[in-house]
Amino acid sequence: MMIPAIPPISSAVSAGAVPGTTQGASAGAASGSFQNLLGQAIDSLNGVTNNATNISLQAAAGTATVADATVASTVASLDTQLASALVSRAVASFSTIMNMQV
Amino acid sequence: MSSIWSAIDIAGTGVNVDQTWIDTIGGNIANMNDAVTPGQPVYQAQYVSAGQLVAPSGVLGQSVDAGVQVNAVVLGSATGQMQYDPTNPLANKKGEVEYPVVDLGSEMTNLVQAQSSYQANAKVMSTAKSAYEAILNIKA
Repeated sequence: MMIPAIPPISSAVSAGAVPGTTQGASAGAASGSFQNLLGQAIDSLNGVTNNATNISLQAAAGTATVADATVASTVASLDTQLASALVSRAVASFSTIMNMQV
Repeated sequence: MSSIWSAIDIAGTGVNVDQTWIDTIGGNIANMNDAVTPGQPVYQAQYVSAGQLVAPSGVLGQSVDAGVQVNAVVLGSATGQMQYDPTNPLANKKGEVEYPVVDLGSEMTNLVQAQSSYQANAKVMSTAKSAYEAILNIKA
């Protein structure tokens, strides 16, 4: 199952820049933005999960060991939990800011 | 294979080496009664030679152990042990039959050791997973 990475929202990545005027120049500065990091993390997680699926199939076919499949599925599970935890923390910090009384 | 879950990868290499070890023991025991006519090639016992697997750099940029690997599968004696058995159809003119040199006692000892090692590596994997999950489940 392939999950395409979420494309960065180009109008929101240029922090401090005027939207609509410097979008082309903000691509380099946006490489560390949360959207890009999240996209890369989901890409990486997708690769790990696909790897676990492939190794499980290979183990069922006899071309990989059961230990390899166990390791791959455990790593995929931990990576998923890590991604989920990071997203939860990020959303929680966003909510903390948004709930500030003004 | 380098990931941040290195303890699980390391334990996985250990399990794989132990799997190879158990496989060779199984092969040795399965072939220990392969009689041949003297002069014919006789089954040679297989022994695993394992060594450490060093990663170029770990998560912290230091050279750390990446686990264990099978360096080679060493073969045992190529000349078997003779047994006098004139009724065996494989016997030569002197009535001797050649059997592989496989000591069942030491093979069984190695099997127990390999099983314990396999279980130990599996336990490391399970404990490392629990530890990683513990740090992931901390609620803010």
